[in-house]
Amino acid sequence: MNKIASMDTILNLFRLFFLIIVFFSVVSLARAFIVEKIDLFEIESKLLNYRIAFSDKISYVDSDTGRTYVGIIDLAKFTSDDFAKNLLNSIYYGKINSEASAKIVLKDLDANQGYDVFYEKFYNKELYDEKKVLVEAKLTGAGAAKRLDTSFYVLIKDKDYFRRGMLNVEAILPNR
Amino acid sequence: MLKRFCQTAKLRKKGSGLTDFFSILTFVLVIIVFYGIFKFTIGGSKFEIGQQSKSIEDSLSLLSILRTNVNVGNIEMNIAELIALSYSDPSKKSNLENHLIKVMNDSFGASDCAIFCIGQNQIKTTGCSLNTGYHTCSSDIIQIPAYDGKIIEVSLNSKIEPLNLQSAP
Repeated sequence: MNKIASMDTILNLFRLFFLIIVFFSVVSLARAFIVEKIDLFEIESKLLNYRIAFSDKISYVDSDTGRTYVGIIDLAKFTSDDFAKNLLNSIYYGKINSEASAKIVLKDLDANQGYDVFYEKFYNKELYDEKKVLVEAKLTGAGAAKRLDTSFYVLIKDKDYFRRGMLNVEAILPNR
Repeated sequence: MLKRFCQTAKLRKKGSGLTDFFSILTFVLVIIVFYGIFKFTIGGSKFEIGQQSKSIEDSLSLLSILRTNVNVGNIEMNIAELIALSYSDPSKKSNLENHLIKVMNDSFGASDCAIFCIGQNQIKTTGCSLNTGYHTCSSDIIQIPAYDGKIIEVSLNSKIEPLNLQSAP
């Protein structure tokens, strides 16, 4: 009789152990449904790329109607000395921008000069240069940075002529 | 020890072990169902965001393709006009296809696959091989009026990944 009682205790211990497993499984499943951390890098960087590509500081604007022709890059604006300053002011991330940076490359597909013609500009160049090193070092975690490229087929307006081009925007955003 | 445990279990009420077995089985099934629900709900929302952004890129590229100037029989026109012209004059269709393939090859890369949809017809770049499978156009639809007043719907799908048949089971 005493032996049966001790075996009952062992069985109850086994049940208690199983109950603990059930409890922890339910808790961990419930925690899995609660999203504590969302990785917004892709959305944030795509948003920056679109803001640059769709910006009136880069696109041709009809001075009579004020209409912005998205997808037509005004070469005079793109190559002007004030380009970086104008773009930084129009895409505003605060007085000291430590949130976003990008390299903008415009490739002329109809250059006909025997070699590819590129125009290279930067959005927030200081941060770009600082974070590019970290991206190339493939560091991860807080303080490091990630890169995302987006390419658009565009037309380049050079005075009264339209040429074919590719606009490549390479966003670099610091990790949080 | 194990022998004694089994003997004691035999002395217990009949069916107790069977109940334990079914409770464990039910628990495992519940975990599997929860995992499935979690996988489908969370995984689904991420996919939708990705698709939306691709549509924006394709729509902007499509707009620029339609505005691209081409030379057809010493007449300068843009591709949107050539699409309208080829709708009423089928002899211009091959001309349109050549121009579209050249523009898409130059912009998206000759080795990559891109599809330009005109109504039900698909014009593919040279990078599209047989193993790209069936794809539809993902951009917004742009409507071009033809010369007879009918509407031609055009759209684009760039950066199509080829199917990896090697890893298929």
